[in-house]
Amino acid sequence: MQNTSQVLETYQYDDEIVKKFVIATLVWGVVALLLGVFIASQLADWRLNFGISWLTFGRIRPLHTNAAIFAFGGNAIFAGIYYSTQRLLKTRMSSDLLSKFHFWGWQAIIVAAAITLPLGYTMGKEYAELEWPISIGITVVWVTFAVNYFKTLMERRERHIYVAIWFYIATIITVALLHVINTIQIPVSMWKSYPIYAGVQDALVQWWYGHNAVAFFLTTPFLGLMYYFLPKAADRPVYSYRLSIIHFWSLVFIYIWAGPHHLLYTALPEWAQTLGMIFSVMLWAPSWGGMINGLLTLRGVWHRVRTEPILKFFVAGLTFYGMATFEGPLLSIKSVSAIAHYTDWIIAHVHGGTLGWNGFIIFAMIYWMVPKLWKTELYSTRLANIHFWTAFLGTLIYIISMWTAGITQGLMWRAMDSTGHLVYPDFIETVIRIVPLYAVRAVGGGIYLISYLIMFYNIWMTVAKAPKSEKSEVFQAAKLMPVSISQLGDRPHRVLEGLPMVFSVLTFLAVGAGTLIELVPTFFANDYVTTAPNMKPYTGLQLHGRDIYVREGCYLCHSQMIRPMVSETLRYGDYSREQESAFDRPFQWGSKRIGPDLAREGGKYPDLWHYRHMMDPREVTSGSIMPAYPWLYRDKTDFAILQKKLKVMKSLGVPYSDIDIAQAESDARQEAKAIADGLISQGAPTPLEDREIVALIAYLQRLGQDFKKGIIK
Amino acid sequence: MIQKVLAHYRLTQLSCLGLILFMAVFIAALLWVFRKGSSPFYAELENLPLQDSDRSLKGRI
Ligand code: HEC
Repeated sequence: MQNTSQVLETYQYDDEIVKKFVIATLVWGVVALLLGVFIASQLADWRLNFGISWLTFGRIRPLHTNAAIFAFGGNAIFAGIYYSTQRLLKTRMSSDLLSKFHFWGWQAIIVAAAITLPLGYTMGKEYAELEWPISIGITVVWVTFAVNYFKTLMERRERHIYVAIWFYIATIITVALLHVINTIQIPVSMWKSYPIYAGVQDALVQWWYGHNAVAFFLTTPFLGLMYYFLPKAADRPVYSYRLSIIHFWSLVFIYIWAGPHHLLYTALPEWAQTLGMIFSVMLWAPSWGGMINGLLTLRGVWHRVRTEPILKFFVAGLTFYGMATFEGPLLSIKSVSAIAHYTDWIIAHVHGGTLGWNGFIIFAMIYWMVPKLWKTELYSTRLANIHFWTAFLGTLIYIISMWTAGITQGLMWRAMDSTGHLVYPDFIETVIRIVPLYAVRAVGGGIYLISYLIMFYNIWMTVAKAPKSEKSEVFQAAKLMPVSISQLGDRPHRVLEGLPMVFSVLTFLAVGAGTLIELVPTFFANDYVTTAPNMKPYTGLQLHGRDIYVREGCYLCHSQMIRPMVSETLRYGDYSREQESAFDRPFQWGSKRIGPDLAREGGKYPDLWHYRHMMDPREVTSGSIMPAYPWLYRDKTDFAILQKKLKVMKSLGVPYSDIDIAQAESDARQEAKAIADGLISQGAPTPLEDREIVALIAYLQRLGQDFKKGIIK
Repeated sequence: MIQKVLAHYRLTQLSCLGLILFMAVFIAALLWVFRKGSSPFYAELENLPLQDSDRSLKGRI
């Protein structure tokens, strides 16, 4: 149907940008894994933070997750996308300048994260910790990437869009949407801001983001890469192209709609509930179909898996993908969640996904791309095989130790004797039991790190031995002529599968509709999360203490959400009510209990207990693995900023009066003095009232008081 | 907690609509990929990654 006027054009691929991203991936991977092993060791032995504020667990864990997901994973995704997109579309990236801006901008963001997170500048929302200036930077860089990408699509010389590109487009669109909606915030200062959402609403938006970030940053792009690099490595087309399309659409729906949203089924009429269930199952099947699709691509070349490390990584990676996507829905079943939530089982789950699935796909891709990019052979296949087996071993040790720890602790928290009492009423008993497993986990992570360094060395030698100054190849392809619909009359499907814009709009609609349906209910939250009329917002000092709590990352070890289960209410007190977090920006429900829940901490112990506990947790709770916080006793409270903080809070609808704001500083000083005087009279050294520990104690003593005093019922 | 909050939520029409909408699109996609005469087309598509660089000199439309 196309014809006469074929114009042959010559072009070259921009492989320099791919090389840059590959090198960045390799370097940040070391950092991410090193940080992981570091904080894992801190849980095995609390002394390993060396008493330095910016090395403590609460500050480094966000850096570890950010480095792993956005630095290691991000750079790898970009490397693979730039490599495969150019080749699939038979064109160079539209603008070298934009590509470079994307690369350097992304590295700048990572460096900014590496500086600010250890210093405690954080939004306090998991995987969205970066403060507002960096958050804006992310948006700018992402939009640059998107513009460059869509321009490239328009300049392509291949009419058809291969399925990998669909996955990339979905990633670009959805990540932008997720990031922008979740990080809307009002700045207080250069490095402090409050989210516009509070409490329940903040939690819903945050986990809508969190859940979909896993889908659209750690799943869709990697599937796209898999659909490109696996056929390349196996030298045969994907097993079923149709299945890959179904896989795509089911993923776009499965996360946005069937993920946390299935909770909504409870309010639906019965027929709709049944429909919803059928739908969930239907969606789940293709997801596994995706794994099978990948594995069956290797039909006929299984013998090569024995000898070729690249195929080994693909097979193992896909298997871990299948495992994680099976475990995920399992964990969301109510009765399983009751045991697994807040425990290390979740940690096992995410590391099966990241170490096993994301890591292995990245390794396969790197081993495949690097020799092509540098026009050479891999330095050592043997080392690559060793890398595979050690990485596999490390992952297994990691997952198994965390499964064991999670299930052990989960069962201990719930254990009750025949008289209805908790068998392990002291939380610390359940911690001490699993500390040895924390050590095993650190060993597993360490093995994985070593295996990674083997790859690093292998790639280093490959590049070092590569011939210098190879000219990049020149390709030729026909220019793409505009085709009118009428010409396509015989094959209407090309319109849909060939037109990236139509497709992008469809994807956006799917994701957007899911988002609306999921987030709209949260905007009605105010209708029933009514604050009791006499419920007071935090005092300035308490608010400041809360910000210290966020800064130190206490929420990474402590939840503030007691579930309505007997074993929980026995241990922590009455279950949490939604009104209680009505003023919480950001919400601090947490997702992991390395220490006990703190939702009802206020009034449980005297101030002095907290004073001693924060100074040296082991002095009051022997065997504790909580870090000591000596700097809180040195650093001074910034009373001057309180007025600004209350003002921002008021603008967000928190009921502070003008007098509260005008007197913010003097009120806080007065409150601090009262607490300090009490402590000093019991023997605490002076000066104390202007130290941060006092603000933190004020906050801890406030937790759960509204409920205890009967203000909230 | 989230469960409880969502249970308060009474806009069930919206949920039903979403469910039916998504299910319809999903089934439509299923029918679409198995439409008649699409096999040669998909056979062409699935080979795209394998022919990019080396065989690109010919150029295809
Ligand atoms: C590495 C994880 C970790 C971090 C980070 C952490 N904690 Fe803890 N926390 C624990 C553990 C474990 C316990 C239980 C043992 C104990 O009492 O020390 C605990 C106990 C507590 C308790 C006593 C709870 C009770 O009712 O017995 C309080 C209060 C507390 N932590 C506050 C904090 C604050 C405030 C921060 C942040 C500045 C913080 N924790 C950071 C692990 C952690």
